[in-house]
Amino acid sequence: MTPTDQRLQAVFREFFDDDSLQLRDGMTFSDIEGWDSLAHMNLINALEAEFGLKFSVRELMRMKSVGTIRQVLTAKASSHV
Amino acid sequence: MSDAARLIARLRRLSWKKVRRRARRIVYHFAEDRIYRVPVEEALEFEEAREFRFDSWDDLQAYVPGPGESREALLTLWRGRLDAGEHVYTRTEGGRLAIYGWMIERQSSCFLTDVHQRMEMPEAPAVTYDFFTAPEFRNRDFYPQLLMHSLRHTAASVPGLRWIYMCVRADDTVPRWWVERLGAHYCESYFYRRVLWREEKWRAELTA
Repeated sequence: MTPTDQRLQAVFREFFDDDSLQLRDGMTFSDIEGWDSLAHMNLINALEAEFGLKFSVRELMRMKSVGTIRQVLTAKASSHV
Repeated sequence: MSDAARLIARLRRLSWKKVRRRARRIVYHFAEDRIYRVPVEEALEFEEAREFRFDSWDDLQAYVPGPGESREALLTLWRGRLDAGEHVYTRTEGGRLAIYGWMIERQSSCFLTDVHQRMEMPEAPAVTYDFFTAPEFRNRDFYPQLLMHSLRHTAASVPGLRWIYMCVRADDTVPRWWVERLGAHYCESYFYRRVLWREEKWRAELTA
C-alpha cells in the first residue's frame, strides 16, 4: 500500500467512522453505508483538506469509486511533485 | 382520487418527525435564496452531453410522480411553461424521466417564492431554474451534468446573451456545492425570516 493509499484509507475510515474499513478499487456508493451525494461532497472536501489539493470539475465527475478517486489523487499528487 | 381520500393518504404518511418539523415551522422559519450568474463566455466552456434532450414533451410525460404528487397537475404546469416559451432539458433512463431543469431565455424580474421577494434583472438575462432529479436516479451526478449542459446550450443558443442566472437555496447543500464548484459567480442573497407572525425580508449584495 502506497503512502497515498494509506492516507486515503485513513480519510475514509475517519469520515465513515469505521476503523475496519478496507478500501478496494471497485467500491462505489452502494458498498459503503452512508456514502450518498451529500456525504460524497463532504468526503471530497475532506480529501482536499487532507491532500492540500483542489479538484477540477472534470476530476470531480470521474471520482465515482474508490478506484477512480485513487487514480485522480495519484495523478494529481505526482503532478505536484 | 377524491379530496378526502387524498387527505387521508397524506395524514397516513405523517410521521412524528414531520409533525415536529411542521410545528417548528409555524413558530420559526428562515430561508436564504442565493443568486449566482455565469458569463456566456464561461458557459461556452462547459460540455454538452447527448443524453439530454431539449423541449421534449415525450420525456416530461415519462415522469413518475412521487407520493402525494398529481401527475396531471404537473403536466398541466409544464405544458403551460412550454406554451409560454420556456424551455426544458430532460434525460430519461429506462423509459422514466430521471432529471429535468427549466430555462427562460430572457427574464427581467422573477418572484422568489422561498423568500417572498421579487428580484429585478434589468439586463434580462437567461435564467435556469427548477432542477429536479427523481430519487432513484440520485448519486449519479446527473445534476452537475445537466447544469453544465444547460448552461452551455443556453449560452450557444440565445443570441445576444451576456449572463445566465440561477437561484439556489442556501440550505440546498448539494446543488449549492456544485454551482459553486462549477465557478458560478455569487451575486447576492435574498432572506426571509418569520417568528410567529412577524415577518422580515431583506437582501444583501456582495460587497468588496
